[in-house]
Parts: sequence; structure tokens; C-alpha cells
Amino acid sequence: MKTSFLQTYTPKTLLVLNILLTIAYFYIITFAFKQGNVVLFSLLIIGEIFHVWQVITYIYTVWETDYEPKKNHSIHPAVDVFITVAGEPLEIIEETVRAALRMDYPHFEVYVLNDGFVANKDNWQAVEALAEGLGAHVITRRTPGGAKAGNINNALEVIGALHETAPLVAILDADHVPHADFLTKTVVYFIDPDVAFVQTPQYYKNYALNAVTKSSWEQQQLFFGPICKGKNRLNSATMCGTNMVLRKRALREVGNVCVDSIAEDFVTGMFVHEKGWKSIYVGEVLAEGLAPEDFYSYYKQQFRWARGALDVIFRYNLLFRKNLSIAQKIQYLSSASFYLSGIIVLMNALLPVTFFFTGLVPIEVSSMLLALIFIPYIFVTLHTLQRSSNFSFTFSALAFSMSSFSIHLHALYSVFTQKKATFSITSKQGIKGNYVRLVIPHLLYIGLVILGVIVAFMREGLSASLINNLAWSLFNIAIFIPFIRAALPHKNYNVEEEYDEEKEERAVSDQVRARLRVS
Amino acid sequence: MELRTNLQTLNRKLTNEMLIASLFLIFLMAFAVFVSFLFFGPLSLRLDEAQSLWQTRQSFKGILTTISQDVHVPLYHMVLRIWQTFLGNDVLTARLLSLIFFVLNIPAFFLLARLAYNKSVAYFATLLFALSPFMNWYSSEIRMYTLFSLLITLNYYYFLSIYRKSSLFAWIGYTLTAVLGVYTHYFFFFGLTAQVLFFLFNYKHFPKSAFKNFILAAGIVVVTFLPWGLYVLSQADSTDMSPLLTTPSTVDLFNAVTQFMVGFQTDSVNTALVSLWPLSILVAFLGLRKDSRITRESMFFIIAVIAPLAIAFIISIVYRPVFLSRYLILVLPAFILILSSLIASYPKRLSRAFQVLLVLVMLTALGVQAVNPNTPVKEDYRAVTEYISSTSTPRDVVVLSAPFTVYPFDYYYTGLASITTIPYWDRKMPGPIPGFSSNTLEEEALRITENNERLFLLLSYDQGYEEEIRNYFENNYERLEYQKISPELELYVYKLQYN
Repeated sequence: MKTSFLQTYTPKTLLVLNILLTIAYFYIITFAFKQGNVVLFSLLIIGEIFHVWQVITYIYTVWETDYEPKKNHSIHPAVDVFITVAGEPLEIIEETVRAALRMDYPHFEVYVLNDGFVANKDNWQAVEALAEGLGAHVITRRTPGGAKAGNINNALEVIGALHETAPLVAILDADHVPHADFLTKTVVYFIDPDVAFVQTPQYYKNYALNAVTKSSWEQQQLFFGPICKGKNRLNSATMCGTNMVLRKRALREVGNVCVDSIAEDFVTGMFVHEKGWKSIYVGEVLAEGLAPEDFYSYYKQQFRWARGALDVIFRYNLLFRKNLSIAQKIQYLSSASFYLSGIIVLMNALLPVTFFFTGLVPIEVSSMLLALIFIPYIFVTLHTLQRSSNFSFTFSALAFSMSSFSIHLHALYSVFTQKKATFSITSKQGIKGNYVRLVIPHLLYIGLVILGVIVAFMREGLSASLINNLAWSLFNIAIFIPFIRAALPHKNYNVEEEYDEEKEERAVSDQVRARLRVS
Repeated sequence: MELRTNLQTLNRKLTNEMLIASLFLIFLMAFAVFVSFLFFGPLSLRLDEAQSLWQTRQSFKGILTTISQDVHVPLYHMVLRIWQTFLGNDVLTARLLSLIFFVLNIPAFFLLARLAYNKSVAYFATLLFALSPFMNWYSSEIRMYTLFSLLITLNYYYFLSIYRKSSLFAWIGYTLTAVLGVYTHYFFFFGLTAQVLFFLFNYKHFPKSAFKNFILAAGIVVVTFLPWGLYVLSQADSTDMSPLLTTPSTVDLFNAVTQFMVGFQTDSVNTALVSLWPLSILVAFLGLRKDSRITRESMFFIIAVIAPLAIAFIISIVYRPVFLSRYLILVLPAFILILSSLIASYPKRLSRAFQVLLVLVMLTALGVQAVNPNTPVKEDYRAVTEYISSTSTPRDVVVLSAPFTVYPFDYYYTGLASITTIPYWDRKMPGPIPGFSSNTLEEEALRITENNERLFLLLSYDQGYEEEIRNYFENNYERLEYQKISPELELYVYKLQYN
């Protein structure tokens, strides 16, 4: 198991240099050059403001990642361990339940929260039998609603009504297999009566399976490495929905897990913080899960996260929530606003295309002068990402992040229209695992570049501006290629199904959705 | 028994590796010799080379005096003087010395690459280095640049050897190459500055005694350089024989980096290549690999690329222009090493593809540089001089501007017409080249044209007044002929009076 992403440290000099170069770059771009087309210039500046925000908040977050909260190994409060299930293959559930039952902790009960019935899964009865056979409790929900959040809330109510409940609840997705020391290493932090939840990394043990799992995991590492460790210091740990332990009292104070949002975990965490509770992030892998194994599952996962995060921005008005500290507001906003980056990626990608077709540019500047200020800025920013993540951030992660602009825009559209958009992934040619339709925007971009280059060449010949813009376009295309390749038919992928977003909302966990491929 | 077998296997393996490396290096060295003899060696003498030849025709003391008034340091010229004493002073023989330095630089570079990186990076980087059109060009130029490159490569080798494991041999090598280096080119100090910067950030990783020894080495360098420094200061009044350099722009900065990769190409090709700079970001992005850390050696080479470029650029902006890509040849080995190690960090297939692409680009650039007559640095003084020699008569006059182009012209000239320069300069007289004055142009022109029938005006190395001279003669005399001999070398023939 590779956990080097948790060994985070970034030299302060590098961070300061990165801030200085970012500000200098922004200042020069904004004020030092002659403006070109007003609209393009405005869009460029909006994009740059967003980049400055991303860099500064990132550096603020990772400035110090060694925060170590108070803990006490002598406390052993009772814990209810919830394993949320909604039709996953039995062998996956079995592995998780067995590992949970084997945990090295004196007082805990394992509950399988079986949502297969309400999610119309065929194996819900088999899950019941399996769990009982293994010695775990089973709670099968009969009344749908609230997806995974509803499942957890239902279990909290059922257990509360049956007997005196444990003060803590651990939540694990069906495919997240806990280590034996999961509870011993998380419960110790509840010595502080103000701690509401303790979150641990969402490790993908199948990361080496293919390009999608690899890229998913490499994206996760940046988040669960320096970002989460930095948030820890700011009492802003993100609640991630699995591999976590919560104080039931804190949950009750916020009306249990939020069922109104597609990002129920993220929002619940925010509500908990708003009530003045503390959060802890443990920078140690204590459970191992599964990454989405195919492009479609990845797409859905990212869509759900983007949709949820954008929902938080536009519905919950983060900046004006009274009881969040400034640091917490910044942290929640920076996490959620990541999903706005799709707009910026598209905007930047379209600048050279606009030049090809119209000859318009946002700023009139020598390309070399721009290079002189841009190259140090981008190289130092890249190095900061590398150093802060202990060299775990990769080109694949970057390519998938940037190429997900189409997903982010789709989610944004979905938020603004409040529509339950339905999308089908069945290949028109009937080829199993062909998700080309999900990368149509990227293919369209390549087409536009080819056409645009012809138009620009006919207009001004092989000018320096054309070559420079072509280089930018090639840069974007190279970034999109791994994403496009992952969407192409692959012999390992055999998903063929209609997907409905409403079904998505009813589904229980990210990892369930990651396992949608027909085994 | 087993140990013995293992040792034998290891020995065999090492011998095989050494054999392969030797064959590889011999092949590259032979390639460099081949390229030089076939393409660059037979080219016409260029201005700087003619200057070197003229300077080294003097006594050792004369060389020191002349060089102190120039912008250089004397080691190369002294070596060249000795070389010529034994082997002759024709162009090819003089160029051979630079070729030898380059040929020696190839195995030295391989050693440096092997010390800093693995075998695969070392082979690829050395291949790029040997194919470099920039290096190949200067391997056939009678100047100090290949010696400079050789010494900086060795100096970096010893510096990194010290970083790895301090040894007396490494310290001696380091100090010696540093002393020789600062006597080869002033910009060698920029390479030493890069080492100081690297040491400041990494002193904990050096052997314990390193700081003390570096101070000692620096002391030796300073003490040995001091006499020269004082001598140059004593000659301060008579300096400024150097060509006019313009303040560099960002275009020059990127042109320099492009030249390290593709050598000297026409303006249009250069503009196109420089405009592709966003792809350099892609090259860096592709290097984002898991656990692919920037090694300390790479960090050193990054500093060794950035520091000299930045220092030369800043000095040129705030003090006086000194930014020339050839002065920055010390950056090239580090640049190639960084690029090679970055590409080696890519996934195998991508890495191979990039390697093949880079080799093809450099080979093509080398080929174009070799055969294209419009390569900007080609100065065909030989052709123009032979032409003037054969067509001019004692009643004609040859006017050269800029004045210092008299060096290459004079080398080949066998004609009967007298030679003069605008502004007028007698290079045998001590002191700097006189400045140009618009007010005295007519007077000078009248002096030159008096009693002559035709005027051969050869314009090259524009010092800011070329256009004014051209316009004067265009407006006052009948032009008989015009030839563009090579890029930026133009011949005008004017009729001054009728028989």
C-alpha cells in the first residue's frame, strides 16, 4: 500500500515564492499589457482571478499540515459500525463485514444498512442472509427516500428506538474494508467532547487496475494528502461519507445526515461545523476501498461530486453562514469552487480557437514576454503541487481534472436548471464500454482546432500568432487525450446500461456506483 | 566458488558496459569530426575567428594586452598561440583546436551525465549533446567556446563528485577546472554562482568539510584571477574594442534557449520555433509522475540553466549588454541533461517517442544549419574578398564598415585596391575604435573617394550607422553593383569618377 501521499511537507520559501509569482503574474497580465478584445480580456481576467483564488487558498491550506490534535488511548466508548449497502456484489459486502467484525476494539456492534430493497436490487435478501450468517445486525429499509443519507438516518432511528445507543457511529461504504485498528485509531480523538467527527482517507486499493482507477486515485491523493491534512489545522476537515466516525449527539443537533443535498456528507459536515463542533482528519489509511473502474462510473462520480459542491455554493450561500469561522468559510468555498474550474478550463481552451476564427486576442503582448512571466509562475505552481503532495500528483490526475470540465459544466447546468437530466450511455454501435459520447466536447474541440487552423492560415499565413495559438491548442488536446482514451472501447470494460440521474440520487454510495459494471 | 563466479560475471558485465560506452562515445566523437570536416570546417573565416587569428599572431605579451582591451580572458588565445606555433596558423588548423575540445567534451559530458543520472539518461543526453547544432557550430570556430563548454562540464562533474563523496582528486579537479574556466570566459563565474546557490540550499547534504574546502578553492580562484583583473583595470582607458551589442529583449532570451536545441536557423524558422513555447509547459506537465522527484542533481542543473541566463539578462538590462547565446554556452550541458532526465521520467513509450522526436529535430536542424546558405551566422568574407581581389584595381578603394570587419577581410585579401574603414580606424594604433559621427561622414567620404575610380563598400555587423553610410553613397554616387554575399554581408560598388 502506497501511503507516501500522507507524508506531506512543503518548504515555506517555495509557498511564498509561489504566492509572489502568482500575484506578479496576475498584476502584469491585468495591468501591464495593452488590452485586446474587451470581452476576451474580461474573460481572461475572470479566469486569472479564479486561478489566483485557487493558488492562494491551496497554499493557505497546505501551509502547515502537521497539526496533531489531542487524543487519549484509554477511552473506549461504544461504537455502532454502519456498513451502507445497496446491491453490491455479495463478495464485496462479505469482505467488508468480516473485516468490520474483526476490528480490534472492545465495544462495538456491526450493522449492515441494507438499502437493496428500496433501491430495487435483486440481492437484498441475500445480503440479509449473508450479514446474519456472519454475525452482523441487518437493518433493511422499506421506505425509500434520502438515498444513503436516508439509509443512515433510518438506522439511527431504528437503533435508537430499540435500545440505548452507543455515543459514536462509524460509517463505512460496502466496499471500504476497515483495518483492524480502524476504531482504535479514530475513537481516541473523541476525548475532546467538542469533536463531532473523525475522518480518514478514502484509499482506493484497486488503483493499479486501469487508467481510470489510477487517475481517480491520483486525484484523490492530492485531496486526502496535503489538502485534508491542512484543513485539519483549520478545524475544517471535510466529511467524506465513508471511513469516518461521528458523534451521534452532533449529528442529532443538525437533524441527522442531510437528505436535501446530493453531497449529503459535505453539507452535513458544514452544518456540524456551524454548530461549533470540531472535526479531525487522521492522516493514515485505516480502510481500503475501490475506485470507479470504468469511465462511466468515474463520470458519474465526478458529476455527483460536482453537482453536490455547486449545489452547496448556490444553495447554501457559504460566505454568509453566520457561525462558520472565516477559515472554515474559505475552506468550504475553496473545496466547492474547485468544480467551477471547468468554466475556466473551457474558457482558456477556447481563447486560441477564438483567435483562429476571428483573429481576436485578449491582450496585445509579445508572446515571449508572456512566456517570461507565465513559465516561472506555472512551473513553480506545478512544483508546489508536487512538493506538497510528496510527489504523488501526476499528469494523469491533472489531465483528468482538467478534462472533467465537461462534467463540471454539465453539473453547473444541472444546478441552474434544477432539472433531473437523464443521460444514456448505451453505445450506438452496441460496443460494450464505449463512452465516446461522454467526450464529445473534447472531440469537438479537436475538430474546431483543425478547422480554426485552416481558417487562420488562410487569413494570415503561418504567422507567429497562429503558431503560438496552435501550440496552446495542442497543449489542451494533449491534456484531453488520456481522458478521451479512457472513454474509448476497452476490452476490460463491459458496462452497457441506461443510466438515469434519478436512479443515481437513489443510489447509496459512490463505491456502489463505481461497481456498476456487470461482473 | 559461487563468489568467484559472481565476481567474474560482474567483471564481464562491467567490461561489456565499458565496451559499449566506449564504442558509443567513439562513434559520437567520429560523427563530430565528420560533421566538422565535411560542413563547418571549410566555411569562410568569420569576424570573431579572424580577430582570434590576428590576436594570436602577436607575442604572448601582445596577446595579453590585446585581450585585456577586449571582452575576453586570455587562456584560449594563449593555447591557440602555442598550437599554431607547432602546427601552423591556417584556418583549418586553428579550427581543429576547437574541434578537439568539443570531441573531448563528449566523453566528459557522458561522465557528468552518468554521475548525475542512470545509464539510459546518460546515453540519450550525450547523443543530444553530440548532435547539438550549436555545439557543432562552435566546434569549428576559432574561439574559446568549446573549451569553455569542456571546462564547465568537467567543473560540474567534479562539483557533483564532491557533492556525492568528497575526495582529494575531486577537489583538485574542481579547483583546477575553475581556475582554467575563469581564464577561458568571464561567464564561467556564472557557473560558479550557480554552484554557490545550490550549495546554499543544500549545504547539509554536502560532506562536512565541503564549506571549508569551497572557501579554499574560491580563494585559489580569486588569487589566481586577481593578476588578470588588475591588469585589465590598468588597461581600462584603452578598452572598448568590442562590437556593439543591443540590450536584449525577451525574444533574445528565448532565442538563446532555442539555439541550444536547434542551432542557428533563419529568422522565420526561429520565430516559428520560439512561438511554440507553450509546448514546453506540456513537456513539464508530462513529467508529473508519481514519486518522480526532482533529484538534487536535477535541481543543480536547473539552477545552472536559470542562473547564468538570468544574470546575463539582468546585467544586460541594468548595466551593459552582454547577452549573447555563445557566451551562455555554459548553460547548454545543464539544459540537455535536464531535458533528457525529464523525458526519461515519462512512461516508456511516450519517453521513446519524445526521444526519437528530439533526435530527429536536432539532426534536421544540424543538417539545415550545415547546408543552408542563409544560416544567419554564416559570414562569407572569403567569397566577397576573393571577388573584390579579382575585380578591383589599384585605382579602386575598399571601404569596410563596421571597422573591425577588417580582420576577416584582411585575412583573405590579395587585391591591389587600398582598404579603409568608416569610421576610420588604424588597428595598429592603441586605443578603442573611433566612434561614428554623422558630421564627419562627408569629410571622410571625400577623403576616401579622392583620386579613386570605384568604391567597394562592404557592409556587415551593423553598429547603428550602416544605413546612414549606405544612404550617403546611394545619394551621392552612381551604384554599379550590389550583391548580398551572405546574411547581413552586403557589397555595393559605386563609380566615383570616369576615366
